[in-house]
Amino acid sequence: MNKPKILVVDDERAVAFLLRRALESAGCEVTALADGLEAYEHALAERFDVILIDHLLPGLLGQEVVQRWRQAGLGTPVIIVSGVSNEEDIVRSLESGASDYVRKPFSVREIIARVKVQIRDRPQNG
Amino acid sequence: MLHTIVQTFNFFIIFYVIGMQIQILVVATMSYRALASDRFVTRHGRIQDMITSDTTPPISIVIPAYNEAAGIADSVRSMAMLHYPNMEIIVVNDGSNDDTVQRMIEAFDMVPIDFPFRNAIPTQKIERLYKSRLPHPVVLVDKENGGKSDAINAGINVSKYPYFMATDADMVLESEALIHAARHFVEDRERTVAVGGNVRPLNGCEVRLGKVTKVSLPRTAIEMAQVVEYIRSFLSARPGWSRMGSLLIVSGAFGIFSKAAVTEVGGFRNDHLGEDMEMTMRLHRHFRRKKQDYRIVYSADAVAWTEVPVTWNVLKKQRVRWHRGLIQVIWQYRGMIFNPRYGFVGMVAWPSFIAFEFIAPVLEFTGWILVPISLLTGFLNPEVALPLVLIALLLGTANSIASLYLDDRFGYYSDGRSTLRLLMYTLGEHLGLRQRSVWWRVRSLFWNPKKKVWGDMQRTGVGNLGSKTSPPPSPLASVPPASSVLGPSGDS
Amino acid sequence: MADLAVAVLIGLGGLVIIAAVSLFLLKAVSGARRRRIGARRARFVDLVGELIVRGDPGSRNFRRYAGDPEFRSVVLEYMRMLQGEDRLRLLTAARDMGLVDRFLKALRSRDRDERVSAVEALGEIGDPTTVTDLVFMLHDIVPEIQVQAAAALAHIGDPTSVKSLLAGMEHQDEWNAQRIADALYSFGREAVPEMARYLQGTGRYRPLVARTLGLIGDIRAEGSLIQALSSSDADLRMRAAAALGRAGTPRAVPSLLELLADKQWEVRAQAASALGRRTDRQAIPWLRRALSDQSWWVRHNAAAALVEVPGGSEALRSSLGHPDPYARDAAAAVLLSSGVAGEAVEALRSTEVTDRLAAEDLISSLVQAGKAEFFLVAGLNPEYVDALRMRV
Repeated sequence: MNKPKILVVDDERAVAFLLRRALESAGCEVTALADGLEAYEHALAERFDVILIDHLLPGLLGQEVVQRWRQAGLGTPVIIVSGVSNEEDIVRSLESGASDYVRKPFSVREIIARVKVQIRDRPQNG
Repeated sequence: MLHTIVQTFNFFIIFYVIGMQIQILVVATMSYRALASDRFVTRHGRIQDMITSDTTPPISIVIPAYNEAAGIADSVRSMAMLHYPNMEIIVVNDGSNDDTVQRMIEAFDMVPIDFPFRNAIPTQKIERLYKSRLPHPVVLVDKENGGKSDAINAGINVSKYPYFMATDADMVLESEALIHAARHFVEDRERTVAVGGNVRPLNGCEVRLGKVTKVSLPRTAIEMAQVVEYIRSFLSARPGWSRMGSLLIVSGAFGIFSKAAVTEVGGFRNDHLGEDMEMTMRLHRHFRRKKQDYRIVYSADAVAWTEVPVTWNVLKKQRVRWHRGLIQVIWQYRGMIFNPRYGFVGMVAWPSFIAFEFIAPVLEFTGWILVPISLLTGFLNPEVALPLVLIALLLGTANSIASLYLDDRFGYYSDGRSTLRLLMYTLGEHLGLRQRSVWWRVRSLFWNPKKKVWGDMQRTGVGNLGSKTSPPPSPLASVPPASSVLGPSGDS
Repeated sequence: MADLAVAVLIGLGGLVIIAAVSLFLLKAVSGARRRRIGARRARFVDLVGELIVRGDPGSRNFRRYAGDPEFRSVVLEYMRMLQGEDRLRLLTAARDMGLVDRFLKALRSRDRDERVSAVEALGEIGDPTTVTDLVFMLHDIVPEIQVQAAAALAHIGDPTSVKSLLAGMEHQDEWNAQRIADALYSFGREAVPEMARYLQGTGRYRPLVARTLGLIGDIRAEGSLIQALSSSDADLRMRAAAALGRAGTPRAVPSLLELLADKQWEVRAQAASALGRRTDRQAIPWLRRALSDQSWWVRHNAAAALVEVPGGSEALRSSLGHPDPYARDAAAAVLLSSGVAGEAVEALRSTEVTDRLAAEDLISSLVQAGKAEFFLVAGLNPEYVDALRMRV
């Protein structure tokens, strides 16, 4: 079976690096980007199995990017990772089309598990 | 004989300008120290903890609104998103003849209410009060037209918290602006009566969902010139004056006040074009007369953004208005000049402000004409005069560079291109805006004091700011944030 | 003339050149420094990241980087990002790398920037073995460092440090004491037992601690708070009442009800608010009685509380016919200010007959209680309002 392809979007280098390496060591193929707009286009151009995106990105909020993806018809599961954790943000993120929401600080194993859940629960028509 | 007079006069002007530049440099140095010590507290004092703390003083945000139907709901939403634990937003509809009230009612599901409040400051009649049924603490005051100051006073009367922020509908505040300002109140609850914030030009910046998401410099010369001015005023001058206990202007568009103090002095005055400076001076005078220990502070970390004029016409009207306001204030508080009863403010800050903000432009204007003519026609000896003129220009340049340096800490314009542009405009300020501004100031000296007030401005179409990146401009220009202070002599 | 012009030009040109050069030098130097630091930082990000992912005990090799502030900063950044096992492992690695020792040493530095950074870092690292040193920093001369130390201790969460925090408050001015109280709040439930004990003593800032206990909301504090309700310190009684309002159980209600008869109006007012938050029906008759209190605030708070308690709104409505005019006024005022009256005006347009009738009833009572003006302003027909006034 093919390696799952994951897209990680975070402007903080440390977070992006950590997520990338962690997912790679869990057997995924990872692309890491730092900009929301770039991510928006890239996700539409290439097929990913799961997307991890930070809430606070320069220029666009993570949930805005998600909204645009959904508007463009992209069904890929998206997990929003964020250090901002008030209830309103979470609700808004989920309502904008995100599949899950993970707070910072996070546990690497937990994120990997959640990513696996999204892969597992995806409808098979990609 | 004529020769001597002309020559003396020339030298007088040149030395005057040099003196002014030295003063600016001194204040800039004080600003540097003020900003440095502020920095330690901002970085390490856990200011952010105040956001979730119960002891953070509650603030009432008062937004006067005249025909703001287009943007008022967005503006309120943007304020509601500020990171601050306890606040209420009071929109005061000053007898608008558009559907400002209707928009507010719809946007915030407002319902009529009534509650008793003291009319501590007399205002025009308040017709109706509304409250929002949504979780946002928004109150709408519907009243008869009375002008901006009257509207703010009504908002103050209705407010329930001990502190209020006077602001305009089109200000965009940084999320933590209120916290940084409120910190000064908490540090010294008893003495602090007012805190002024840092206003920056919004032009050229990207605004999304009511927040500035990307900071960049505007494109046109006139906007750039104002950026440079604002930097000079808000970073080189105010921190220094504040440190010396002589902050003479708390911006009307971004100032937080103790409700008790403002009520004690009678609220904002309505027949005034520079009502924010007037309030600050009044507070100084009142508490010094009362011999009560007080302080008025400036917070460079409390940042708010606003649109600045993009056309010469609008800019001219704004500056003329400011300067006329300044003249009113100077006349009103002339009794404080060199009056030891008013301490450092009366003996040093106020006279120096008048000398370099009011008198200087006239002299400078005269100088720009007189000096070259005198040099050319031989009335002035170039060997002596030229070096002096160059010194004056050099000092001016040094001051401008100093202010850019102070601005560096914010890191907004750190790339090469921005630096170059800022530098160019700082230096080139001497050609263009400075002269025009001075001319406007001179013109404003010949003025009839019975001129119009706030509401009327709308009809003359003063506010057409039109910038490409921000929400649609309100039909009414907000009262300028930094009031009469800005100007090429840029200080205070 | 030509000389003049040339001189001027040279002069101005010189100015421009000096200005440009100096500013550019400044930016260039700081820019280059930033880039160098950035490159180093990026390298560390990769190194430490690998360490975390592999769970590698090879952290000893990193000891040589421990002297580099960028390295330390990267480690802290990762710590902030992680929780659970990953974080624990990173903490162990940090210890192995000698970072903790370096920070402890920096606590003794004469440079306040170094000290404060060290305190912040130790707070971030959260190593329980550093608690004693951090307690010592509570007495640093720089107030910000004291506050940081308190926050660091709160983050580490060792309950034995609570006593030191409370003791440290004693000599502080109000502003700093509040910051420490904030730190106690973020300490959370672990701090509650010690704080409850403090309440029973004679500490200077008991009201502040009572407030914090209310915010934390742990019912273990309830006993001490209830006891505090009978303190001789009015401020403490008030804060304890507020705290019980926030975080009490039905057990607190009887004592709060008694407090409605306190000598101080501030305390009575606070008790009324607290009862509103407790939403306990047994308070209704007491709150009704409080509508006739001498103090405006007490009457108002009691009325507002009745709106919050289930079944209280009825009591409020019926109070519109109370013999005491002050009680009537308080009830009417709150019905207006809480939006209930405004909603009634809207309900007049409802399609349900029962809703309209109920609204009319309420409006009629309010008009008879003297609030006709409000409804006129809200747009109701004056004749209609008059008719309602005449109604029995």
